[in-house]
Amino acid sequence: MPLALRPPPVSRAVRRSVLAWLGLVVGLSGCVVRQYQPLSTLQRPVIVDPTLPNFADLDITVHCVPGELLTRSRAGVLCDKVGLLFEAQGANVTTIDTEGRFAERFGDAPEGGETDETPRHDLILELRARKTHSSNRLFSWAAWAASFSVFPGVWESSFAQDVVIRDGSGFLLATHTLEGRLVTRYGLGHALLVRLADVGRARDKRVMDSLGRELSEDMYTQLSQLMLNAKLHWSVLQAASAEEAP
Amino acid sequence: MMAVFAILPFLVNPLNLPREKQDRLECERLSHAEANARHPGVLPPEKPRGDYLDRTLLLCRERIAPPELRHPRDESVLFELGEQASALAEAATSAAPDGDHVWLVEANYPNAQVVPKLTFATKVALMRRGVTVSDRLVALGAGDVDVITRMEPMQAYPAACHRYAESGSLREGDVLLTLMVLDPRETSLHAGLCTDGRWTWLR
Repeated sequence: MPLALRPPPVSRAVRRSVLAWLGLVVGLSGCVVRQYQPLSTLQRPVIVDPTLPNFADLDITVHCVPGELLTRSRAGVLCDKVGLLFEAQGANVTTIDTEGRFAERFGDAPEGGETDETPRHDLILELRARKTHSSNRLFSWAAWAASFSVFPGVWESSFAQDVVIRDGSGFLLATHTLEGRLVTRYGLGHALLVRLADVGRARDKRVMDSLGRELSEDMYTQLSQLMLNAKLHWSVLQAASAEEAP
Repeated sequence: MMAVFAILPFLVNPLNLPREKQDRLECERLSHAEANARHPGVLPPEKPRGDYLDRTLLLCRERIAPPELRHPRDESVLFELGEQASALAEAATSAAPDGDHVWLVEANYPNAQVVPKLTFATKVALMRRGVTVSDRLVALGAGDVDVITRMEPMQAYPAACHRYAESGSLREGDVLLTLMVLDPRETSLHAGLCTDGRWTWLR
C-alpha cells in the first residue's frame, strides 16, 4: 500500500485565528471612510458656470506632467477629464500626458532667440500633483487593533495640485497651487456611525461617497475659473500688443 | 462607549468640521523650517541627531466674513488683495517712465463698497515701493463720460486717459494707475497705466 502524502497537521487554534483574520479583513472591506477637506484655494468662491461655453473656439492644450503623485496612467486619466471639462465649455482641447514633449517645444528654446514656428495653441494648462504631507497615526492603529475595530485607524495625506497657465508662446499668465487633505478612517465602529448618519440624506450629501464628488467639483470649478481669468488676461495682452504694433 | 471612541478623531482634529465650516478656513501646511521662521516657538526644535517624527504646522485662518455674505467675486478679490496689490504696484512702477511722479489710483469695480478697499491697498503697496502717492481724484466732463461709457473697454480706457490729460485733470508728471474688472465672470483684476495721455495695459 503506497504511502499517501498528507499535509502537516494544522492545529485548530491556528486555523481559527487565520479564518478570523480573513473574516475580519473581508468584513472590514466596506468599513473605509475616505474624506476630502480643502486646505487652500480649492474652496475659494467661483463665479464661472462650467456648463456655459466660456471658452468657445479657444485652442487649449492640457499637459498633465507625470511625477510624484501622478503616474503615467493617472496623468492620462486626469488629462482626459480636464480635457472633457474644457471641451464641454466650447474649447478645442489637445492633451499631452507624456513627460518631456512640452519641454522639447518650449523649455529648451534658445535663450533670447526667436523661433519661426507659429504657436499652435492659445492657452496651455500644465498640471502637476505632489504629496505635501502624510501621517499614519500609529496610536490610532494600535487602538484599532486592540479594540477589534471599534476605534478607527486613521491615515491622512495632504496634496498640492500645481496649476500653470501659459499662452501659446510660453508666456506665463498664471500660477496657482490648490491644496487639499485626504483622511482615511478604517474601522467598523466609525463606518457604522457614518452609515447611520447618512441614512435619509440625499445621495449627493452622503459622507460615505463624498471624496470623489467633492474633490472633483472643487477641482474642476477652480480650474475653470483660473482658466477663464487667464484667458481674459491673455485677451487684454493680445489686444494691447495689437494696438502697439505699427 | 463605542460611539465616543468612534467619533474621537472628529473631536481631536479641528479640521474635521462640516463642509460649510471648512469653507471658512484657509489653511497651509508649513514645514518645520518655515514654521520656525514664521511662527517661532510653536513647534519644538528639531533634535540635533534627527527626530523620529515628521513635525509640520498646519496653519489655518478663518475668513472675516462668512462665505455667503459677500458676492463671490468680492470675496475672491478681497481675500488675496494684498498679494494682488503688491503685484500690480510692482508691475506699475516697472512700467512707468523714469523720473519723479505723483501717483494716482482709481478703480472701476462693480461694487462701490469694494472700490475704496482696492484703491487704499494699491496706494499702500505703491508707497511701500517708495513712490509719492496722492489722494487726488481724476474726473471727466459729462460729455466725455457720455461718449466713453458707450465704448468697448479696450477702447474706452485709452480714450479716457487721453481726455484726462487734455482736460488737465491729470497733470504733467502724474501717473494714473487704474484697476478694473472687464468681465463679470472673472475674479481677478486688470490694470492699466495712464501717463501724459498715453495708456498702457499692464495685465
